[in-house]
Amino acid sequence: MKINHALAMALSALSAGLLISCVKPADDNKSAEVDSQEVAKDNTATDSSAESSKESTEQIVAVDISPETQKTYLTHVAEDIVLPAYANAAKQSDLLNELAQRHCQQAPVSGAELQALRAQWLVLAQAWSSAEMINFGPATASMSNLYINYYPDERGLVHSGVSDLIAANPTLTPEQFAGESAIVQGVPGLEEALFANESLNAGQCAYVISASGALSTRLKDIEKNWQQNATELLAIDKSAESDQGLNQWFNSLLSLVETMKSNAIDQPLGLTGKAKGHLPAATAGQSRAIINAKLDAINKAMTDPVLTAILNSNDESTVANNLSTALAETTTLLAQMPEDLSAADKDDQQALYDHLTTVTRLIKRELIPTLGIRVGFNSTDGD
Amino acid sequence: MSEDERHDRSDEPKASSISRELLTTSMLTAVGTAALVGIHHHYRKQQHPDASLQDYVAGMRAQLQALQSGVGSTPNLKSFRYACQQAAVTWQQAYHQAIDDESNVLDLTAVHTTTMLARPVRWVSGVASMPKNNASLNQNEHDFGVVGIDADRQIVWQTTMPERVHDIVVQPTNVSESQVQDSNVDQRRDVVVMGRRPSEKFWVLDTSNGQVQHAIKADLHRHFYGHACYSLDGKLLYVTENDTVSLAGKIGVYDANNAYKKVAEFNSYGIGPHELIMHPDSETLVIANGGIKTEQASREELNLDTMRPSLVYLNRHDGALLEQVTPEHNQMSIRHLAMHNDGTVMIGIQFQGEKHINVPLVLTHQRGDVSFAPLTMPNNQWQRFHQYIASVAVDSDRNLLCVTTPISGCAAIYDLHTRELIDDVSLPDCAGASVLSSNSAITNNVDDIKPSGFIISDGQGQLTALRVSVLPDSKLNGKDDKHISTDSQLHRMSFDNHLQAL
Repeated sequence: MKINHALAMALSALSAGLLISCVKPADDNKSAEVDSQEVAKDNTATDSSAESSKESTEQIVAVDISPETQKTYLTHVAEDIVLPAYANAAKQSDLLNELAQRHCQQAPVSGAELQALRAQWLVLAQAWSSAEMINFGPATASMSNLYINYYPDERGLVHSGVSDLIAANPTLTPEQFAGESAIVQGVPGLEEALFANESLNAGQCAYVISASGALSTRLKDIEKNWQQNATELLAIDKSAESDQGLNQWFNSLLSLVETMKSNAIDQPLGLTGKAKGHLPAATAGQSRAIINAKLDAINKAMTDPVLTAILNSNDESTVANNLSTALAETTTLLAQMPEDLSAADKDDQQALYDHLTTVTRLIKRELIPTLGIRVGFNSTDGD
Repeated sequence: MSEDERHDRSDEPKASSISRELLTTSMLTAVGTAALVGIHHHYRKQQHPDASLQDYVAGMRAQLQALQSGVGSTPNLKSFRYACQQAAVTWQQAYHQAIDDESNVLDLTAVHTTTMLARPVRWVSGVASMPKNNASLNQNEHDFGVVGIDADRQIVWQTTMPERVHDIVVQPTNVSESQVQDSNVDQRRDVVVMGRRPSEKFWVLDTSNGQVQHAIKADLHRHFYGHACYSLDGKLLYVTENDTVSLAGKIGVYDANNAYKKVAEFNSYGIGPHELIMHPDSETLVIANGGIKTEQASREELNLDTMRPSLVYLNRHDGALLEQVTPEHNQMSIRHLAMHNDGTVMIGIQFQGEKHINVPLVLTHQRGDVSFAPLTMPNNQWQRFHQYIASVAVDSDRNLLCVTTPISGCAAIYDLHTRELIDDVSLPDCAGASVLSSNSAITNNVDDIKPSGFIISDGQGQLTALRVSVLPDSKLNGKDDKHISTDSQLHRMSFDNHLQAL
């Protein structure tokens, strides 16, 4: 063998080896997103439910949301959803405070006057339940939302806390009240004072006036903070380079549904495990109204015309329709249940839970992928 | 005719002959290369119908671009080495070769899908939601996975997982990074991926390409608690486990050199052991006994009122209890740990008591101290962290500590010299934390100190670099006011609780 033949063989092996080692993976020809090399396909992980299987096999096509559209939508969320929600809660708290000052001039308060206070409390509680769809920003910073709604209260601390406070401070002033613990403040504390007593004595009246006044101050502070910082809080100014605002907003809405399902329905009713805690507004016997307010807030946010236009921008209205239908069915079911959900038939309780599971799935598997954003991981269960 | 001219003429036939030889050799080389590539392509096409001859040219071009974009010779060599690894895997797949002789390998390739790029890995992270287009390949409802991340915070490889994962544990090297680079020592490193509690599985992957090497199942009446650590020599893996009969905490010991077979088991001297780390003395295990009792296949807390969390130091060889410390409040669940090079343990607390109670959530401890030492919080407002610390990471060189708290949506950095909070940064759903650079890069000149920092992963798909620097104005005033700058890289996935630096 001539030396050039041997050299050619060696060079051939080397150059072929180089080309083969650097070859672009064949899967690249299928997907442009990653330079991928498929090693094996997972044939074992399958979903047992036909519904899930169908969902997972259907390819979700994300809509193209331009930075300008994102900015417009987030500005709309801030101005037309978030700010009105806080403004309404502050307004209802103010109204309760005014009503308490008027009716409490002569204690004890009972009968129609007490009923009026209770009715206004329920409007306030519903207003705050709607505002809880915003689980980021000043309302949740440093757990300040505990001072507005100490829930879930698994040990019944609100009950003993409020009665102990009133007993110890029969002439409670707003200034004294401001420094008190979160367990005696906010909506549940007011519920305790207004619904656990057949009439309000002077001490209980002083408490209702102080607590509603303090609550108004907190809610107005939150509203003011949003007015001043909405651009930053919803990352509206970052629309050009990221989808942080969209992510934050839709994960917040998802969180409301999941928290409602878990803390306000499943756990107190013991649907999937041992019962713990109590239904929202249990002392008032108005759990349905609270769940309904949350559901209504979600419904408005999800069927919002600006959002619907974005979802339908690729001539595909399935996601918006599916969500709208699921929420409407849940609302209808809820309307047929008693005011106190603990008195509802067990099957209906389970059906409500299942409906909310469907809504959760639609948000996670259809809405969020369609918007091209991501479901955050559930970090609330202690890992 | 001059002497020179005669010499030139006599050289002409020789030069012509050399040219002919070169031409012949080149032609033979080209034919030989084409034949070999053609044979390779023929077999490759059988496995990948989409394969094309252009892939060879495109691949070569990509590698050349990677080499050109690299800085310095060592990264170039690394890129080439990783390209060769990629080629080896491709070859193995194309010809149905087993990756190794392990009997479970075929099962592993059936349940995991790996995709990869030819770039060195700097961090490994769990993923709670993989990109949808990839997930659709495997019908995986939850899209759980693990990813390798390079120094530019780009995804190098991604491997699907059959369940949600938790801790990511990289096998230590017994040679330094600089030695590896200088001598071009090639040492394969494992990364252990723990299933989320109460998982009965952990997986061992190759850090360089994400290929699953082993899937380890818990013993009968045991499940894992989501965390593990290697001995400093990388030979043994220690895993927090639960005895599902007695509900007592256990530490399983696995031999990394023997397919991760369980070789011993110790008591954790507590209930619900979560994270555990090695002490720099290389002899002592440090264990966070969270104190929360759970049953098999359940996450329900059974003893929140009576829980007794503790930090435990064990002799790693025989499991002897060396020291045990309990926090001031019995519901301060000790969950996450990081080890300073000086032996100080950094502790992240998850408070299980009533939400309105304000307790310190970031503590430190050194062997011999009778109690924990809390770091300080402005106005003692620990509720800023919403009772939940997800990860702690320490930069020993610069005495900095980073903690993450997804519920309050922020990452915070402490100066361990003063034990004070430098600042916190809003990062919704953030949890994973690791040092940004394992390379100290500290010179004699203070001004040349490379900005320090951490990498934070979050559920919205961001990998954020947090860098701490001293404000120039404060330097002029003789102060040392520090500032945190952020820089995020967005990915279309949700990163899970933990990420780990190589």
